[in-house]
Formats: sequence, C-alpha cells, structure tokens
Amino acid sequence: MNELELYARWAPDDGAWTPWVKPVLFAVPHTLADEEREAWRAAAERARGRWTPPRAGDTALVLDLSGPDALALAVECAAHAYRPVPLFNSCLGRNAVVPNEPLRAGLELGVGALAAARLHRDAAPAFVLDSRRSQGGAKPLMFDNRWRVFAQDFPSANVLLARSIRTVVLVQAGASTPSTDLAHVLLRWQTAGLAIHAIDLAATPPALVPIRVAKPAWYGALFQRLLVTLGLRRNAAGGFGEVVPDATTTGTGFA
Amino acid sequence: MNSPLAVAPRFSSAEYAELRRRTIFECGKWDPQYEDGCVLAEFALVLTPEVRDELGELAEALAREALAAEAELAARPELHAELGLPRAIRGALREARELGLSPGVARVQRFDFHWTTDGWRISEVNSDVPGGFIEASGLSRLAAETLGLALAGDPTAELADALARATPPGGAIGLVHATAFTDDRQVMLHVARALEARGRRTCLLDPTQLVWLDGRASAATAWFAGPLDALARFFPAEWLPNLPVSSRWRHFFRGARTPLSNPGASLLVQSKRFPLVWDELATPLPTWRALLPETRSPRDVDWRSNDEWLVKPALGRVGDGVGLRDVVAPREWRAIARAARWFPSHWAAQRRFAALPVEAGGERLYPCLGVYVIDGRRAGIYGRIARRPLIDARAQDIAVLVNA
Repeated sequence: MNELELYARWAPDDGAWTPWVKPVLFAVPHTLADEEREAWRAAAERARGRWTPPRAGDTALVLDLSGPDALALAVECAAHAYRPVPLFNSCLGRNAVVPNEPLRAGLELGVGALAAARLHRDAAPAFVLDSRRSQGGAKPLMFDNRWRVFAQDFPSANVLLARSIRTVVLVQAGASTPSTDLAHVLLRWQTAGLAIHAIDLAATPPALVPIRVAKPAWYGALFQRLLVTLGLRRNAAGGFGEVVPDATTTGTGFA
Repeated sequence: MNSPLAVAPRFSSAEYAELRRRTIFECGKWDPQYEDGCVLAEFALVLTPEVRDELGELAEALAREALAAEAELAARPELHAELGLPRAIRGALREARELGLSPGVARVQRFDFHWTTDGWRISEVNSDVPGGFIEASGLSRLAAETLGLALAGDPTAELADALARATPPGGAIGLVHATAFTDDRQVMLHVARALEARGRRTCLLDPTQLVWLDGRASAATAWFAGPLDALARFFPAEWLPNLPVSSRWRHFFRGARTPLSNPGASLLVQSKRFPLVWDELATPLPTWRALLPETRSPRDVDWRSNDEWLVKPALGRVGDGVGLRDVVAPREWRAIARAARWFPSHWAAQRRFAALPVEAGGERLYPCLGVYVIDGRRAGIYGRIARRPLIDARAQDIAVLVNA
C-alpha cells in the first residue's frame, strides 16, 4: 500500500472529519520492521477491552495516550462506531526526540481493523494524539520533532455542535486534567457549550467524570502560537520548553 | 476601476479533491486545513502577461531599492532602535563594524501587492524568511495543469538555481529551521528536493546544530556532520536571540564566511517601521514611496479613533496583530490597541488603503499577490485570498496563473 492509499483509508474522500486528519506521517515512505509489527500487536493487545467508549452519537473522543496506545485504542473505538482522526503533526527522522515510527507502523497495520469497522461517513470523531508529543529534551545531534496542538488543528465548537456533538470525552492514562496545549482547545469548546468529560485509564477503577477545564496560561492571547514558540525557543531551537516569553516581542512563523 | 485580476472557474469537486491530495503528497504541503477551512482556494487567480510583467517590474525596483537601503542601514546602527529591532540584534549588527556583515547569497524577497482604489499598493516586504514556495511553485503548477494555463513563475526552482550557482557541484547546503514545526519543515523538504535535483547535498537542521569555526559553518547532527557551503535560513531572524549564547547565532548577522540566504541584516528593511527612517537615508526609494502607504510612529497619529489608520507590529508576520478596528474582532482589537499603546516603539501606524475584492462564487474576496524577487530577478507569485481585507492565517492559498 503506498502513502496515498494509506491516507485514503484513514481519510476517505467522503468522511465528515477527513479534513482534520494530519497528513504528515502518511506522506513519508516507510518500510515496516519486524519489531514494529510486534510493537503494534502488543499495543493492539493492550487496547483490547481496555475501555469501552460511550455509545456513539453525540459524543466525540480525544484520545491522548502514549504513542501507538492511542492509535490502537482508536481502532478499538472504531468498532464502537467512532471514526479515528489521527492528528499526529510530527515527522519521522533519525535520532528523533519523539519516536514516530511506531505510529507510522500502526497507521499501516491498523487499516484492516479500521476497514472491518465499516464506519459511516458521519461517524462521530475520535481525535487521536500522542501524549509524548512534547516530552523529553532535545540533546545535541538530535532531531527535535516535539510538537503541540493548537486550536486550529481541531474543528471549532461551531462545527462540532452543528454536527450534533454535545459532549467531548478526554481519554488519558495517568492524568486527570488535560495537558496545557490541549486545554486551550478544550476550554474553547467548553465555553461554547460542549460538555467535557475525562477518564484516566490508569486509575483504579477508571471513572468517566465531568471536568471544568482550567484556564491555561496565555489563554486567548493575541499571539498564542508565537508565545508557545518563543517559550520553547528559550532553551532549544525547535523543541517545546515552558519559559514565559517577553510580552512585548512580536512576530510569528515565517509567512 | 477595472480589476487586473480574473478568477478562473471553480474547480469541480473531483478536481479539487485531486488538487488537495496532490498538493499534500506531490508538493509536500502538510497543513491543508486551518480549523474549519481548507487553506487551498477552490479556484485560481488569472493574470494577463502584461499584469504579471508590471508586477515583476515593480517588485524588481522595490528589491533594488531595499537592498541598497539595507546596505546603508547596516552601516547606520544609530537608526536601528527606530526600526524596533530587539536589543540583542542591534548589538550583533553593531559588531559588524569590526567583524563585517555576514555575506548574502541567493537573496530572496517577497513583496505583497494588493489591488486598491489607487492601483497597486504593497503592504509589506518579506525580506527575511519569506515562505509560500510550496504553494507558488507546487499548487500553482497543479492548477496550471488542470486549467491549461501558464505558471507565473517558479520561485522554488529559482531559489534552488541561485543556491546551486553559489555552491560547488556536490556541495552541501544547510537548511536551517525550527525542526519541530512541520509547517516549516515541509518547506525545507520541498527546497531540499529541488537542491538535490541540482546535485547539491542538503542537511536539515536547527540553528543550534551549527558549529562555527572562523566564521565557517559546519553541521553537527546525527544525520550529517561536516562543513556547509551555504546556509538557507527559514528561522526568523528575530527569534535568533532566543537561542543559547553557545549557538553563536550572531554569525547570522556578522562575522560569517559561509554565505547566507538570507543574512540577518535582511531584517532591517522587513521591519514595518522601515519608512520611519527613510528621510535619514541617502538611498532613493521612489518605488517604495509610491507603493507603500504612509507609515508613521503610533505616537504621532491618532490611530485609535481615526479609521484611516491601522497599526501593525514592527516585526509581525502572517498578518498577526494587524489592527484594523472594523475588521478584527473587538476583543482582538482591544489587545492590539493595548500592546501598541504600551509599546509604541515596537509598532507602526500605517494609512489604510481600500483593497478591492474580486467576485468568486458569489463571494467578495480580497487577494494578495506576493511577488518573489530572487537575486534581483522576478521569480513567481504566491497568492492568498481572504474573506476580509486582511491577509492572515485564515487566508487561503490560491494558485496564480497567467493567460498564455
């Protein structure tokens, strides 16, 4: 299966959530290694029976789990009529901070189960993230491919509401509150009237609970993306640190 | 006033889907969506050869004047504070007196033109790290094939040719960018492919992975180690001071012997406050004076209550922070106004022009044509179009083609 065919499986032309699927990991050729197949099998095994999502209808999922575990759970959720929407916005590369090869392999190895789910074009979305996206530090010689999510990576609350989504369930493991970058997105949704629930799969027992998303630093700031960028550049050239930037500095990415 | 811009018929849904797919997979555009909208327009802009040539001539004249002004400004550090440059950058440029300015090669500039009630006007020059190569070369090529029209130019090919001319066959070129941002990396990969097709080796790296020895740059990464014959920088110059001192980022401004596309000094004329020092310069700037709206310090005009003025950050990009009171959301306007009031020396006030929209599919849309000039020669056009008279991150990319 070539890159385009693989993308078409996860982002079918008529899919309601296709525009938001991030093409980055699909767009690079990749040869599956035996250990990647094994790792995917293990992730799929861990996902099996790990969690049963609410009955699909007016609920969207945000799966923020570690690497292939998020994708494997998304494929499980497909069997419950949720459409996985991979939002991995990071490249493959040698000596990378975030190892994306398992995700790329999962995209390829998960297509069978995805096809078996026979999802309707309007199936509710399960947005898939990698919770490792901004973890770790870039050492010299490394390819810093850490990433964050921004509001523009997701549909707006208006679109979700127009498509009858009323509730968003955040699925994490080892955390009960959203990461800072995701909080920017969820708070916008919550403010617009969507109910936000969260579940920590590492808790015993995991419980789905409504949450109030706390206002993250620089929420709604004029140059939020810039502020994140400058924050990360205090300590690295392309990674994501946490230093508060100068409020007076202006500019964004190149235009 | 008759518009010099025509709009091609809307792509069919099949054509558009194919265009989107090919732009992603053939051209490497990985950010085709921005919140709820696809960033690729469903139609193309079409110019006559005469309009293309007129824009090219104006852009070349602007480029000549800008490079001359840059050279003069580099030798006038007393004016740099007026440009709103960060202190660390002003310091680096001052050091150029002793160490020499870092040399430029494959100089890329992009001038953003708007059709207005007064004819063509520019809103800014992107002289530091202009983007849009994937769209201007890739998207436009695909649209040209679909519609049977001609390209307005190929800036990627021109940039790669210019870098190839500046380096020996088999030479190595470092493509310096913020590696974590896929929207920057996609451009670097796009340019890298063009360079490799011309027999050059490429190394994609972040600026902290450069090693400077006697002003010569080498790469120190796990995937490439060794000297570099040139650097193409897509890391905004004003971000460089945020790097650790050990990165020796000042070489982008002074003391380098490895040629740079573009050198850090290119920021001097990119500042939106550039017009505030025009009268101090010996360099004549007749084309700039004719095409750029009157620009003043925010301290000197009543931009808060007079809608004839807008404010913009001195080093703003992608239209962020442009204060058009009746265009941006009230909350955004309040934030912009507050920032411009508190830090006026980092902002510019500019007299507004009345951009004229084009009609497409029953909508009135405002186009912006970014005309590239590479090493002094026109090199293609990056088109964007917006539902409001402000080109920012919500604007769509649009192919710009020419009637044969």
